[in-house]
Amino acid sequence: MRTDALSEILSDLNSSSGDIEASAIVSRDGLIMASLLPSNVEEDRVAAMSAALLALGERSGKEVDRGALDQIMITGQNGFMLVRDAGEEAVLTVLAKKDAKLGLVFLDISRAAKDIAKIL
Amino acid sequence: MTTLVDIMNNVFQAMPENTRFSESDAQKIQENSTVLLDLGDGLISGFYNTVFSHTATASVFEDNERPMREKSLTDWWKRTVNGPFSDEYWAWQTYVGLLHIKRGVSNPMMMSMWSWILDYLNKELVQAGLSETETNALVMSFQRLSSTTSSLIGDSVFRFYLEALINATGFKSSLLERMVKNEIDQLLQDNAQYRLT
Repeated sequence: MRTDALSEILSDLNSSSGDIEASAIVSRDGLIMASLLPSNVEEDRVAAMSAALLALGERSGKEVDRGALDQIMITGQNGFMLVRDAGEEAVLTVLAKKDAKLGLVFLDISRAAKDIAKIL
Repeated sequence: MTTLVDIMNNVFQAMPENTRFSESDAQKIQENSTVLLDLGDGLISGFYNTVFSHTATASVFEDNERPMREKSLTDWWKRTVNGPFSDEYWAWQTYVGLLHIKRGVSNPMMMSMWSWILDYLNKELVQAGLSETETNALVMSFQRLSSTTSSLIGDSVFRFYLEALINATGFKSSLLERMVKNEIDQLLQDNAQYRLT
């Protein structure tokens, strides 16, 4: 039931904007909870990396006194990877196109993360 | 968070009882304490002659450090021979793992020097007048001490190395375990040519 609800959030997120190519929800210890990732992406690795990025981001932010972590953004030649805290239990990872309108993407991700946190 | 006591308990639980150091081993060492303490000076100088004559082990030390290290090993030898083998003793051995990380003492270095100690005792106890049977029995007790101590130090090195990474990165230990699990099959595949069967 919760899995269906989480998958629905990802479907809504991916369809909310043509700029979002893929997304996944993973646990803090790197397990996939729900995903809409391309077939060429290894889910288990992306899940572990997302949890690791969030943990390292939180640790780094704390060390340099930047306050609570908002999100992590990786910028590559082919687009963006965004990782966001989705409550105490989960991490939301999103892949966006290189010419994405980031303001809208950030807003959609923020809303989705709040919805995930409510469900979990 | 990993504690030193957790490591100790896990190691003792992991080792089958007859492979671990026992009360009767402690008693055997106590019974031979005079002869063992007499071997102390030779053991300490031979140990550090070996360590300092090998490039990799010698590189662990700084100039003029030998007298201090000899003092530490002498203290360890006296404490080991005199006992008791209490929780404090085993905690001390586990703590050595942390010192080994700090100093760059690898597990192969530690285990090979344990082997040197056993060889030394095997030779010198007969020279000191113990029968072959008595020597074998006493060396077996030290063999079990070696297995127990090496396990504590080795596991301490591994666990505290991971603990340092966990503290530095903020990763949960379960996340690290998952990352290793994700990668281990690939590593097995990459190294499959070394399997003999």
